[in-house]
Amino acid sequence: MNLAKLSWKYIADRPLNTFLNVLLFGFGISIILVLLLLSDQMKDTLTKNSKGISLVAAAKGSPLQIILCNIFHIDFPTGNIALKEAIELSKNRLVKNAIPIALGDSYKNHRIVGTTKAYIDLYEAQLIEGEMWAESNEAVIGFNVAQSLEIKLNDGFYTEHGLQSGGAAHEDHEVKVVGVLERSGTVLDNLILTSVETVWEAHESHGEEGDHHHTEEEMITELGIRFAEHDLDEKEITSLIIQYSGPMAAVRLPRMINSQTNMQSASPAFETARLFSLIGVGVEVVNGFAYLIIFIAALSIFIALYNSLKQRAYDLAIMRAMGASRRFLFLHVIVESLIVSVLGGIFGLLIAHASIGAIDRFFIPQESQMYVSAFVFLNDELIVIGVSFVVGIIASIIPAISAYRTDLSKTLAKG
Amino acid sequence: MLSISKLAYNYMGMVNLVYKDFELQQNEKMVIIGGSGSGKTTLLHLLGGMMQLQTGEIQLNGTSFTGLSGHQMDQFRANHIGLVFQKPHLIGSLNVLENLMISQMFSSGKQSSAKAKELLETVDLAEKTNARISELSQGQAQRVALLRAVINEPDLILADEPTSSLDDDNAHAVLDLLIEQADKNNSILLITTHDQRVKERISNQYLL
Repeated sequence: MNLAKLSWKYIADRPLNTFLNVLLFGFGISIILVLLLLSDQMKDTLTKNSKGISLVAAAKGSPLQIILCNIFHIDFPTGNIALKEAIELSKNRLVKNAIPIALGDSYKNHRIVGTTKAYIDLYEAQLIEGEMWAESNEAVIGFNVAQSLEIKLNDGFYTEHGLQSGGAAHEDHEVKVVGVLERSGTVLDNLILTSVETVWEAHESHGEEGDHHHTEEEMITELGIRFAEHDLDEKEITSLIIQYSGPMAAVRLPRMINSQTNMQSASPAFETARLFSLIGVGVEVVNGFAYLIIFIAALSIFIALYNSLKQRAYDLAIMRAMGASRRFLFLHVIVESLIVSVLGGIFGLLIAHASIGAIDRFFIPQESQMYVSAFVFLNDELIVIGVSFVVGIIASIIPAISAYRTDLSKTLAKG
Repeated sequence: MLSISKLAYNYMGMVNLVYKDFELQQNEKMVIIGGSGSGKTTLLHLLGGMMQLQTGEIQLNGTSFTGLSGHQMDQFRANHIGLVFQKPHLIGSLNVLENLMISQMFSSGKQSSAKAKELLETVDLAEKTNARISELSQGQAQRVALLRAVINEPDLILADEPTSSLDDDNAHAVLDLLIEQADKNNSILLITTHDQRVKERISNQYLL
């Protein structure tokens, strides 16, 4: 027999009440943890996807939409930009690197992104099978695409017009899978990557029929895209992903793009911060609600202890008669509350991770860019155990003091 | 040896209880007899160190209660004094064995479930070792309460009306057990009572 075991015996003696308090406390804790874990993993996904990207230049429109469309591949494009203008911009000395993005087609809800190899290098993704595209109508697919659509190397598919499934298929243009990327935990996993030329060709073929017989000497390569020189004024892409050449660029380039070109600049860092400040309000409200539940749980633990101590006055006096010190009774009550609150905390921790697992499995569609895992643990979660301790002590401090003050002689004389 | 000298207790200036001096050697037994309000329980609580001394002195085997702090008194009580009350007041959340072991926990001796079981054996309660307190009859419960008081082999056993709520058979069983345990541990046994059955057994009487 020891202090903890004695306290436990009293808890085990009222199982329903203990169950309720553990449940209540656990739920409060788990809500806070789920929010913590989700926002952390969301931030992680966002930063992973926008790593190395200083700026996106796209057609005039909402900067947030530009970021969502061109980096996270969720929203729709704001329009197209002239290839000629994009090339000029890429030659600006404030630009270190520029990667073209051409959107417009998809295959079974997976976007087809016309770009260059530099885009894959940006995310440091490696091929697990096959090789990079070399010719037009060849594509490299992301890991999830290969998994969910069960496409293998050398399979062919017809791209669909538009960014959502249900668009008309470009039936005269079969695209062949020449490579599969490893899982990178970034947007690449859900994308079908190909050359800008492939995207152009799919569209030209049903637009201006038969106008792509160019002679070799007219061809030029800009931005890693090979095209006929006389097409320079007509060609368009969706956006240009830019890396700054230095800190000065951060100050001057966005303003220059917005005022001197027909393009709009959007900074991923700024837009994701803005997005989070919008979500933040909702998170705060739910968090407040969770703290309220924890407060109610603490109150419930307090009431349970207070009531049980009234019935236990004689037990406490008997313990004192057996030689228990006042300090022992004080700790006995505190420990009793601590057991409930810490059990609640652990329970909350388990529910939180189970919930994240469930959210990952049932609520986040495969093609979305969110990655959450039930097995990510944060240092902040240790704070929860600390909070459990503090709540347990606060809830029991008044009953513990009254136990400490038990008047041995008076209580026994009453019996 | 237990001795009191010039012991008196005052309840808020209203009632003044004055106790005659007495001295008891190890293994001596005495009953304290007095009507209600005569200060029986107060005397017992003073002897058990459960009330602060006001005037006079109590000494048990050379230790004066006056010099002990609250915490020291608790420790002293745990190791040297065993208390039995009118009702058993066992702890309902614990089983029979645990009720005995909790008493060992507070004393500085070792906890031994073997010793607790052995004691239960002597009062024919071995089969109740793991029983809940609510499953015991009143006589059985009082015997367990008594074992709880003597398990640490105290120098002094204080019993406050231990038989008053028991029938003849149980009262005698409890008395037998008290006397037997006091003899075994060489303890001083003090019983407050107005119960004729107790007075018949112990001739040494202290009248209040």
